[in-house]
Amino acid sequence: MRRSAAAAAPTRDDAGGAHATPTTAGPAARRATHGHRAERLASALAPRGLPCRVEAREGLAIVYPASALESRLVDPAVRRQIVALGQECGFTHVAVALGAGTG
Amino acid sequence: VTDIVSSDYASPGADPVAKEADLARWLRERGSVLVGYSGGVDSTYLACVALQTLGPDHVLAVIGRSPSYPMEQWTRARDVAARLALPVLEIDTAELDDPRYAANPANRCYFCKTTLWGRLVPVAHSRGLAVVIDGTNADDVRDHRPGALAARQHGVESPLATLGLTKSDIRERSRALGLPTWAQPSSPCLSSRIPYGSPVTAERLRRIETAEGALRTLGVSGDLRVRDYGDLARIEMPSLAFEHWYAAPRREQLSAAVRSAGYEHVVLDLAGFRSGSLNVLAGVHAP
Repeated sequence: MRRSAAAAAPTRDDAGGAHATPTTAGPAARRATHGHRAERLASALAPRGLPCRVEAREGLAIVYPASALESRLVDPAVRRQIVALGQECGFTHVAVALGAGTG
Repeated sequence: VTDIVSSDYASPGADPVAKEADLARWLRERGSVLVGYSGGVDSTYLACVALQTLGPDHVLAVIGRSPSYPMEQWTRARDVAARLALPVLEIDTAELDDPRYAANPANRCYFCKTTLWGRLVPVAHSRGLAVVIDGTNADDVRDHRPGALAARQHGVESPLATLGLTKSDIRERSRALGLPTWAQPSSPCLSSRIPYGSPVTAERLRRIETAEGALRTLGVSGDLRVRDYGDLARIEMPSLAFEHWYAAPRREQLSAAVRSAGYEHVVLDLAGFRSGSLNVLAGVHAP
């Protein structure tokens, strides 16, 4: 999985070649959009005391919580808040990464 | 919804006992039935009432086996049928052989049910059974159910929906009848765990089944889905279970169980289990 906001910028290859000019949203453009959404969600969560990194996979936001947030996720109200903010950012689903091998 | 609920029988608001009496009357009017039987809550209840009403010579429950039908459910369906002395026939449906199904469009269920009913209706005819019925209930008709079109095209009837029996009614009456399925979680086919547009393959279905089996073995109970995004699995479980399973070291155990099925990445949904969750992703809405 490599969908971090930082990695989401389209490359020449992603755009279909050096001379390609996509007329519709291709994979690279979609990744850029998803990456932008991930950044927006992380930015929305941080000032609310919910620090994390966010990656996007299509409509799914994957939250990598900082240690300060990890213990707070057991609170249903906190989870609802994160999901609501995720939906505001255009995600259909928000999930937290689990254990080794994620990310 | 209103056009599928019969006005010849009790209103949808009637008590479940009255609706069950209507169901028995409806069945007697047909005389004999072939039941599409999965071992789930609805079809088990329907088959049981049919058996009680018509007797074993006038009822045949047919299980359609395929890679999208979990082995655990198949085993349970056979066990329950044996316990009820329900006549059962098993056939292979092989819907994965249909490329329209394997492509996993939003109306995937239509192609699955077309294959299923296309095999079951001739069985009913050859055995002299009057009608083919399924376990669609009154709640289902409010959901996104493209398979219902295939049922209509094949003349399959849905008496539970017609007579206004809701899932809650069916659970209540199943309990009263002593059916072991009364509290069983809903169990749609394994293909429902794959986002629309992403191909359904036997390998992916096996991986989903293995992952869910591993989570059950770990002790996860109630509604559970492993949604398959290729190398990533998203676990949905009841929201109330989150606190228990997210606590260390259990979250690592969840992750390890799912990764043992072949996924590289595992995430736990923050909203919890939602029936038809992937319909949201595809922008599919109920009619």
